Amino acid sequence: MQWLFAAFAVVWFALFLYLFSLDVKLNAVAKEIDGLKAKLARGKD
Amino acid sequence: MARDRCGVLLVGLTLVSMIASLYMTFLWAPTERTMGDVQRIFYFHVPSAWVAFFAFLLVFVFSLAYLVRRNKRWDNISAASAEIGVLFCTLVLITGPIWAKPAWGVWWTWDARLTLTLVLWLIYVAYLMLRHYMPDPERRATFSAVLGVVGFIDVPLVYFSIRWWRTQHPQPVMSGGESSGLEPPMLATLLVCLGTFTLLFFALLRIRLRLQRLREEADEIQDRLEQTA
Repeated sequence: MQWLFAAFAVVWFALFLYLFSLDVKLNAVAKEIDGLKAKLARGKD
Repeated sequence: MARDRCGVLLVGLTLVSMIASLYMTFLWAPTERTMGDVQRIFYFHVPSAWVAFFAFLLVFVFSLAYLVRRNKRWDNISAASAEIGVLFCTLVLITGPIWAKPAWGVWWTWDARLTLTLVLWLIYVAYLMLRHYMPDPERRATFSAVLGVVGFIDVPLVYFSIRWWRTQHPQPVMSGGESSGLEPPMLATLLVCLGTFTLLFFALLRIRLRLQRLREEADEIQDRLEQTA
């Protein structure tokens, strides 16, 4: 049974890690876009 | 708005089918007579392999489309699909040995199926590295599309390896001759798990493509800023 749970844990951990890394990257790019848009708006003023 | 609804529906469906898969894998499917509970690894080992193959098929199709049409969107789909394919191929290479140790007594053996799967993983890791380290977007898209097309040759080799060569890996459980076949509850569990992993693939692909769109938007604004400066 411990082999089964080890394999199962690996699958969940990998999926969680991948989703977490995507979320971190999405937030970073969204923040970068906000910053760039603000810069662009300042430049136009 | 319609896109959001589609995304919510996809995530919802994925979650519901995940719960169904977990129930069927651990509680509903019968225990296999010779291997016991460890055989249940099969219900996520095989779907992981299926998703990896499917992802690499998409890389092949969209790489080919990119080489013909030079449409950046096809390149984006290939890149996103390759990344998810590598994730699931990694899961195949980890869950396989975890199953092999109690079943065969060894973690790894250099038989055709296992070796070719490792080669497949290396090909698509090389694909991702190529994308990461090549700065020029045009050249990156072209080179990786070529690798995406050529690398796919290994997928049918992996699939047919257990039919063409004598291997330690079990023979196919479906359409693999007289001795193959699954008990109906096991087959139903496998099919539900295959569906779940496919839904999961599309849910991840959507998120990954969204990241790519945002990255392009950021690059566009950056270009506009540089032009105005």
